[in-house]
Amino acid sequence: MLNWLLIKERKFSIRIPVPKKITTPKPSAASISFDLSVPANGLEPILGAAYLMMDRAFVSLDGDRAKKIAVTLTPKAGATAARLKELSAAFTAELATQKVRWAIAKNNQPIREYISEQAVLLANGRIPPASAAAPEPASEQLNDEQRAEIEKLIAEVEDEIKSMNASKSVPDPKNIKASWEEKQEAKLKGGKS
Amino acid sequence: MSRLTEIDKPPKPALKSVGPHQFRRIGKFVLACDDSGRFAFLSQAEYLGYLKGLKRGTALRDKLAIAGLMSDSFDFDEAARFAAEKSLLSWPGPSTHLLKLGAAGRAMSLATAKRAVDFAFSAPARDVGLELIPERLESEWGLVWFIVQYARRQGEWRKKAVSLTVRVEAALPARMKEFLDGHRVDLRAVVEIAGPPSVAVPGARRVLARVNAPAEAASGWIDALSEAGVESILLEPSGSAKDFLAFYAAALDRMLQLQGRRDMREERGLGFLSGRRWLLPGHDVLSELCYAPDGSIYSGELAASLDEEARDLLKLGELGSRRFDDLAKGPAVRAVLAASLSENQPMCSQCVYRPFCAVAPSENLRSQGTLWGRHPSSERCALHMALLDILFSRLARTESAEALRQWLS
Amino acid sequence: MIEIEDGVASISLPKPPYTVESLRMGALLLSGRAEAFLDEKRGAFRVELKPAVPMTELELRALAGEFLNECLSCLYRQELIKSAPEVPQALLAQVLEKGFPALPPDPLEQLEPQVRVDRETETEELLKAARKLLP
Repeated sequence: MLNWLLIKERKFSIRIPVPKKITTPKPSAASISFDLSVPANGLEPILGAAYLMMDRAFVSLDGDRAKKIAVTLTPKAGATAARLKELSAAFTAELATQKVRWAIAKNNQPIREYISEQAVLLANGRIPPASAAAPEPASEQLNDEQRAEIEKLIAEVEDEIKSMNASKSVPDPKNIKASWEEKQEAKLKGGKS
Repeated sequence: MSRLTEIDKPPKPALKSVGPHQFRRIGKFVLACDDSGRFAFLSQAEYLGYLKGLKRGTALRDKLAIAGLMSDSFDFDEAARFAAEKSLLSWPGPSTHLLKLGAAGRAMSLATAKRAVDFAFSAPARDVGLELIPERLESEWGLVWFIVQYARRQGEWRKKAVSLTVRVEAALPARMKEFLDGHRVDLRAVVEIAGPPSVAVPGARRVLARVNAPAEAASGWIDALSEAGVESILLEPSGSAKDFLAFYAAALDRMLQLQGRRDMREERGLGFLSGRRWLLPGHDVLSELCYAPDGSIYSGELAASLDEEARDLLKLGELGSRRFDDLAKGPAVRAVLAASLSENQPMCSQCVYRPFCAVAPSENLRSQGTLWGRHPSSERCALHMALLDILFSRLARTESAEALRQWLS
Repeated sequence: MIEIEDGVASISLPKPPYTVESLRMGALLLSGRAEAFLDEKRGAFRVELKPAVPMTELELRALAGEFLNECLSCLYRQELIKSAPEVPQALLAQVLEKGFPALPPDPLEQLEPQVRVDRETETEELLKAARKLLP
């Protein structure tokens, strides 16, 4: 049975007096506290710095997530003045670095989300990968050989057209070879004259 | 200093140009790495300059742009491609199915063994890897005999490549060796690295080595194992972490020196460098599933060996009543996958090694009582970070970088 | 914040920043080692940790400290996920949807049912032979 099921809500009995007000814990000789402004430092950097101290300290929090958070560190290995000083320096340094890490992370969140969306589309085959992109467009740069070949083809077509035109000088009394347009034109001319 | 490391008096970052990345101080250098594993080594001064903002046209800026670290010169297509390839979007299914043939004197039945093989073949991966873990090989030999032949036939029927491994602790009788060689079954020898080098299992190409020896012993052991034909070794700590790390570094250096003459790869290092979490040995569900003798399916080998309450948490079902596609519907798989996503892990999300590393949820449960763990005080996290420091420090050296890259080819 | 009395540790936890979810995770951590009893008043939680076996004051304080660290771990993780839910959600959804596909039917067996029968027969023979090798 998982232990969280054992959390039982119960009313206090007279045996355990209920404090009327929860006060901020005062720093004791066994711990060190930092009162941190959330607007100035950011909630995530504060929690991040506190979190990273948990290998060497027990960490408790107090305060309002929007305004001020108090972080109390109690060294695991026993509180000496030197350890508390070391802990204080470590937390301060870590908080400064956490602010940089979180600033970079938040600023680049849109990039991450975009990449993630594109990656999902790629994985689902909804967009082709770059290597299997659309076929390469026909080159507009012809080499000499290709150019010569095309010119040859054009010349052949032109010759054919010329020969077709020449063949029209053969007598055609019934105008059979004439196109519909030519016939209409001839009618008009015949009509007009 | 936390294990993530810090910068002394960090400047306000130039947010217009500093791309998404994490950083780590390693000795004199700073390693900066993007979300997909593209990285660059910088001096501390260079890194601070990068944070403050680099002028266009500088060599450093170009170098960082290629590594995907400049947000104002960003190749989105390439970044998306890397993300698709390296992230769980490309997960092909668990690569190794571990069959525990016996535990506490109770052997798996043949019917259960058949169901385990069927289950392994119902996973989507193109290749199926089966590792058989006998407790008493002599009495469980019939199971090995059946599984090897049935799996090979299934591979032919389903058109899948099959790799078979049997884990052994001592040399095999000739008839067993002959059968396994004839069916192309690898041996994975379990070795205690404590005293002078010895090869207890001739013919084993893979080794699981529990290390409790000083760094000075590493070279001799690697030489002995490579001469015996070992191609792949998984080094696990058995004594102090400090000694293990020193041994690991020396063993790695020796393997890289031998590269090209006798190739041997360290499995965890290879898994790290691949940048694909499902290639990390021992990672629940992503890299392995484990089938117990009674037919229970567990998220991994470690999960199957935990105490009862923890084991029940990571039991995914029973062979015969569950199909592979049923697994995703169960809460255990969902919890394991959520805990495996390093984006969700507070310390991992800020770690430079995030694209390469993961601590198995079963390991978190074993050592810290929850699937998530608390990585600042996790010994396994600390070990992984230190191993990655060793690997990346070798990547920073030209002569060893090439050899390490060959591991991945 | 931590009071020790009669072998029981009592912890006052202000609300916010602590949440019920974070206390649950803290209690989960103590599974087998202690029971956690929660009471809630306006503005604060009060948790009592009753160890399974008697502990010294030092041990109790350490237990309470671990509980607090686990609560912080949960709180920070919730903030992390809240600050950027899209990426992990997309990944997890994709893996759960596509990573566990149903096994497609074997085309050869569909084409020719006799193939299935033959395979089952072959498997049965293998099983029969394997039984002879077992004690």
